[in-house]
Amino acid sequence: MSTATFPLLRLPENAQRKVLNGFDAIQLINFSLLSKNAKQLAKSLNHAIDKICLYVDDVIFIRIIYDVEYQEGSIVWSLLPPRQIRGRRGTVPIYMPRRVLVVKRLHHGWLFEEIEEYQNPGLSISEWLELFPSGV
Amino acid sequence: MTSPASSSEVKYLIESSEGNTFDVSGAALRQSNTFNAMFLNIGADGPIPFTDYNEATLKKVFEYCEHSVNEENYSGPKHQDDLSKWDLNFFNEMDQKMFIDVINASNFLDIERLTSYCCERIARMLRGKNTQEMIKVITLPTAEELEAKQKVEEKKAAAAKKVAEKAAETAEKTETLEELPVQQLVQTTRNKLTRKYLSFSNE
Repeated sequence: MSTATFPLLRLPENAQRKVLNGFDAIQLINFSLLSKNAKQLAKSLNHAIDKICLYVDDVIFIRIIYDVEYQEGSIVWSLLPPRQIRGRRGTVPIYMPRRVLVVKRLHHGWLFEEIEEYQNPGLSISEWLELFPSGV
Repeated sequence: MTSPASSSEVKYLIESSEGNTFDVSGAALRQSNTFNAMFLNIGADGPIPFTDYNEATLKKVFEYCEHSVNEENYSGPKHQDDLSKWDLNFFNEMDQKMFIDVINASNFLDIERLTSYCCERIARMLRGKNTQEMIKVITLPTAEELEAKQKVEEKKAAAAKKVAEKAAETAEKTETLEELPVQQLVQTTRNKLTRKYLSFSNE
């Protein structure tokens, strides 16, 4: 079968969901960034994650943990600010992320498995948060 | 043609979009939940029309069903590395058009095992790709296609809404009658009858 291109979003919805069920969290987020329809489809899977944390600092981090009890692993999306950003002292400036750095941490320690970095496709912080399942 | 007997020897005639018919064993056909829901218990007088799909696609789908008749019950998608040589050949010899047709037919016929294996294959193809790489692989629907899809969904939603409204209306009526005290119920019925007879007498 040729794998150059594949019309995934033209398949029946049931088949699309089955394909997406074979994706991990990083891939689901990458898929959500394709289009509005893709985002809706990914959200409709209602995938549960054990915990989601938002860290607000000079850089904003979104971290999901998939097994809280055993700290099985977590994925962190670091939403990096534009090069020049100045906030008032003691405040955290709201910014449009410039780049996104994805890090997958396998266990409780500092063992990073996979790193991916890309240009932010024009999503604000709140739009980024919307990509993640809300029922956590 | 065929009876709904459960013997694996029973053959069913399948009709494709070209109007051609061919035999499929009952055992193979029973892997389709759509068939089980529609024909298994009532049988079919004449060929079973799966006329949205062409003969080549249907034959390919039922070839898979015939092959997996003796496999143990389906228990979730297998990892592609665990697929047998026959399975791998089955998938590898299809071109993309046939593969998509097989997914569509398998999805309609609700053949869980085949649909899952096909989908797992697509997921595997996309695994490890970032958004930019996915954009290159996944051909996104055009604006016209999205519009047509939205229209179909709107129609479906409107039909579902109508059905729900009707059901709610019926439930409300039943509820109203049940909630009325007996005396009031008698009175309401009497009023209705009076009105009815009055209208008759007016005529």
